[in-house]
Amino acid sequence: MRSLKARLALWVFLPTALISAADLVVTYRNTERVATLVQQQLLKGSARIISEQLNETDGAYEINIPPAAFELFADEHEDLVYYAVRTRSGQLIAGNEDLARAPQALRAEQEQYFVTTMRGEAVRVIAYAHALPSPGNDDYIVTEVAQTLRGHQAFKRDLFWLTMREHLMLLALVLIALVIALRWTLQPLIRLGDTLARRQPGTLETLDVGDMPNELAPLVNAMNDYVARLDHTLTSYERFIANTAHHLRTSFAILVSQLNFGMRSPAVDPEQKKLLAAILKTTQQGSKVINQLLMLASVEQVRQQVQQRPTASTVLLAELATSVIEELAPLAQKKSVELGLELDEAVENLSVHAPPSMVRELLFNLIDNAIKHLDKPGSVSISLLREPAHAVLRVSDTGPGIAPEHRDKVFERFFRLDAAMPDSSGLGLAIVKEICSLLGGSVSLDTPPSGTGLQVDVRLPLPG
Amino acid sequence: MPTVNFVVAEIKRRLAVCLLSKDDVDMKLLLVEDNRELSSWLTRLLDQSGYAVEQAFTGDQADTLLRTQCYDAILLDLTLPVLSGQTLLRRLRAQDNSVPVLIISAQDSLQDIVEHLNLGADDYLAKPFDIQELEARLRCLLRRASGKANPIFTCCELSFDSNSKIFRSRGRELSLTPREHAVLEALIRRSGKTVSKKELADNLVTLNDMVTPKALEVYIVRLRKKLEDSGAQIITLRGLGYMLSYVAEQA
Repeated sequence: MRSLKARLALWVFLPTALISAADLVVTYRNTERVATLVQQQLLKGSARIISEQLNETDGAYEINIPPAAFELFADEHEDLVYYAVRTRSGQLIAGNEDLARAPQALRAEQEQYFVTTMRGEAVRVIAYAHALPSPGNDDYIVTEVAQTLRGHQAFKRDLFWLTMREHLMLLALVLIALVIALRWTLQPLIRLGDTLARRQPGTLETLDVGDMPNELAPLVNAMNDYVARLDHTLTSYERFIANTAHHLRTSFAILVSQLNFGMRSPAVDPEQKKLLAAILKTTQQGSKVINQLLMLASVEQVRQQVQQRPTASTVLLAELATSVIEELAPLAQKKSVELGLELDEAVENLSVHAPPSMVRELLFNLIDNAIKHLDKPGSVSISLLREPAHAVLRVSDTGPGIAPEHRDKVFERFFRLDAAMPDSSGLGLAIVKEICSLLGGSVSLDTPPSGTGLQVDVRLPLPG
Repeated sequence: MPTVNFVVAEIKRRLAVCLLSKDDVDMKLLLVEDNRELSSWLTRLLDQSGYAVEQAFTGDQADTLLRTQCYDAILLDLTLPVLSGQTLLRRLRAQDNSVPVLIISAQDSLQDIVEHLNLGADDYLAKPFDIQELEARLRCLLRRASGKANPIFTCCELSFDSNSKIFRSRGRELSLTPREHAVLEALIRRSGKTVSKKELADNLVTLNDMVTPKALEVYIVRLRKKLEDSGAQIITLRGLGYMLSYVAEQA
């Protein structure tokens, strides 16, 4: 059971229900006793009333049974009542001969209760020994009154149901109180859970401890402490990157100036100039890698901004694609690569919420990559498509393509499919993937319908 | 250096409209750069190209110089001791000094760049940069500063004087038919940007011509031949149109 609430509820409710059940068992037994006592009292009353009506005249007994003796029993259960008045020796004076006699011997003014069967039905019987009023005589008569158990059973049942109802009501009350109490006490915990669930992944915001209960405060404090340390680590990491970048760039700038100077100097002969040009090219590649690494590092910074204000900026994709194509056109022309943009009216105004610089970097890397990997003259086509929830940026080329088994790997940093390509740093597609994840999109590689080349689809969520 | 592409795009466009001629020499520059080694190499390079360069190694040195001297342009590093490049720039603009400022910086987060351009910098170049690119940007700045009233459109060695309606390639006048002229004018007015075939055709319709796409292609082919030495080229972009742009040095 994963829910704390359910667990707590179970461990409070289950014992309560068990205690209640145990109590019901005890109650059931008690009802038997209570009902029996009540019936016995009635039987006793009735037996006494009958006994007192006995008259003895010269050894002959005469009895007048008053209706009151039986009115005691009148109720809706239509119990059958029998009686028998016998002499001590067992001779019937009045009543019903069939009524069983007391199983044990009686003494005067003593009563005895027992259950027996009368005409096929269980009856409770009192046998009451009534001392005869004549002095000096310990003789007595035995008055027996029997009543069927219908009323007794009904009384027992009523008593039990009454208790049962009370218990059920009690349980219901416990349950309601439990739900309210749990909801109320666990509210801070649930609120904390909700707050955490609502937070953007990767956020470095701290939580407000304010009115947190004592039990939660250490947890929240620990989390805040962790976030603060992480923030600090990231900040120093970013500062480290910025410092490194500054130093490297300055060094590279000096190197480039020196090379530029050497290449312009009349004292340097053409062979040496070729060498300088080669060094310059390597230097430029090096600085390109530095810039790309910095780009990757800055994606993280932008991620935070995007999370804080996801709708801060909107990018019109067709416009952006046009501008990236224009920027890369001279490079494509140099490699005899035909660049094209495929648009129709449906996607002319397609836009996404994203920092324009990021989408630009993404598209630039995709198209740049496609142009650079064409081994012979061909074409690179950019198209925009609209899917129900996504805008699709599709870049397809007529180049050598990427074998399916390599398609996952090309997104790894520094992975290069073609080791002979000196221009490629192996970071372009890694940047594409990072930016895609930053923007909540996805990137997939395919073979275009024509069967050759590569088709890259970038899906970015449409606003709303 | 395609570091921050959205800025680079703007920059390349500006670069593309710069004429690679040497008519801006004898210009006086202030180089504000705290790294003495870089400063000295840049000075030597710019000296070689005929610029008169004065060096300042701190922000307040530059500030002092700027109070007494006049410069045609300032090359400004941002991370400076004593007085930062940002403060210097802000102070300069607050004093209504409109001297062109080209920022050269090794710190190029996007926010920084946008901020500095907003603050009044005219252009931005990320370190490390090639001297040719630096010089091209400089020329561009100087030309813009001097020739605001002089509407000359350029793309590499190709220029178009909108007053005289004359195209020049490497300084030599190009001979063009009226239709070629109309097409090229539409292109150079927006060099670095695509012009759709429809727009080009509409331009020609004013010459009382019915222009078929085929005819337009013919003009483009002819123009391409005539532009061969200019460093500029007409690129066809499928689905977009034609674009006048620079010829890339290496693939």
